[in-house]
Amino acid sequence: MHPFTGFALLPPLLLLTLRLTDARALAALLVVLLVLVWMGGEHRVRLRRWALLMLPLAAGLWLVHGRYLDSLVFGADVADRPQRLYAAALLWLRVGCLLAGAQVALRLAPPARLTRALFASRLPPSVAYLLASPLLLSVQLRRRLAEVTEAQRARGVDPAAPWPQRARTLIALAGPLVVWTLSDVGERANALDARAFRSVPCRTTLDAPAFTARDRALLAAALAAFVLVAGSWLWR
Amino acid sequence: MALIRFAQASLTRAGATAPCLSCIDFALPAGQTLAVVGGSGSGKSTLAGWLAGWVPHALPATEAGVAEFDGAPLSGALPAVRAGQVQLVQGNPYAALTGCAFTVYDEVAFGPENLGLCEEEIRARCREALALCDAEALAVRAPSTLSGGEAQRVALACALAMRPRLLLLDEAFNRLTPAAADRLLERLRVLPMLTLVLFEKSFERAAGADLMLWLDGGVQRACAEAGVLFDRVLPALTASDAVRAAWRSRAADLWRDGVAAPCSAADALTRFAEVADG
Repeated sequence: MHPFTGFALLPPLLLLTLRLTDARALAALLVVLLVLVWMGGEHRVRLRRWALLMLPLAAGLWLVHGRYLDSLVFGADVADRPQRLYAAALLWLRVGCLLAGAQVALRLAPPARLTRALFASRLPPSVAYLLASPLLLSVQLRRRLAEVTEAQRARGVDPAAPWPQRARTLIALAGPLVVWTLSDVGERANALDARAFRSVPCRTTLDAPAFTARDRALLAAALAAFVLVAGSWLWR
Repeated sequence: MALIRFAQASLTRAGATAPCLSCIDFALPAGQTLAVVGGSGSGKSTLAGWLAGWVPHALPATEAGVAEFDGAPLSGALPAVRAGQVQLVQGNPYAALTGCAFTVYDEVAFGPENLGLCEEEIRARCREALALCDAEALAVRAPSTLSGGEAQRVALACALAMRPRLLLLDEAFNRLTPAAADRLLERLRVLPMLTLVLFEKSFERAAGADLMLWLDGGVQRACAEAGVLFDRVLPALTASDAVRAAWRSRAADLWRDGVAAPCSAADALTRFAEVADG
């Protein structure tokens, strides 16, 4: 499947999660999406990421929307708690569905293939680079952080110290990291120039993902689903 | 006709009053090797950037005198346009990474892809460049996971995949073992139609070049064969103990007339034997 096709499935999903107002229907959709995540590669990592975001969010929504903090601190009236919790549950399910849907789309569009698809698209190469480069940003930041940590360790900053001590050394680590990352921009521009980037109007992309008839059919289905859900919403 | 021609050329950085490079005067025919030598701060990297066509876009500066590449002014053209003809490999190989390649193969292919070549040509260039740099085993690795030496081989492969006419190596082997560096240099020297310019602090690596240019404080002090410059440049450069001992012998007038100055440690031992035999 072409990497862009996976992302085309997200707009109808977004609309559907907003359209559904029944918690059971949303929960069923969430289960389906989580099963799809589980069926794909790297499912443990993807599910863990999903859980790491959604579980604290659930706790936060429960505390705030359930007015447990309000009643505990200010003694607020909490007679409407069940309704508020139901609304919070709907919100949590919608966010959960979108995140799970995004994980499915990402599974269908691995970053390496997505980068190739971007460069092979009709986008100008500079725009394609701008969109593709953040996909590798975390790797580059990790490498830079390792270098900064090593340099700071040599100067007596202990990155393995207890948390309060590490918090104090955060600036010593984050400062050079930010400055270094910014100074990378000029270096990166030189590297791109050295590879003749944008020197000719049409670049070649090796192993460019093909946009097949199946992709076209899925794209049409996504568009039809979007129109259907939007139409049903407007009709109502 | 010379591929590179400088005649009383000088370069002044934007905002500076005095030139950072001056009295640059040499001509290098295509296919030959030039070694630019000098200590730290002598202007080697600035000259490398000038030759790479960075002036004035990536290296804001003004030039005076004659500075030509293939009969055309060295400065003015966009670096990206010149990249198909001139490639610069720097001492920091990570500076050559483009930041949008997930594997070494993608990184090497990125340049030829930008030239709009056909896929077969790109694959042939990548295969050849990786093989030349002993980097075939690295092809599937992520560029960010490479060690310094590995990254240096990949940076060189990236430059070679562009099939440049002029290859500038600015201390490009400083993270490799001497044996690996010499092996790579030997392979580069026999590549057809490739003009090499080495920017080196090591006398022995520079001594194999057809011509040696000595920079000191941004000024060209001399340009001649390595053997001719031996006595003058060696104190400013790094060299093996054997070569340095030969230099001391020559400085102390213990060297026999007619015995040439050595260009390597092995050469020095032979020369010592010749001096002793005499």
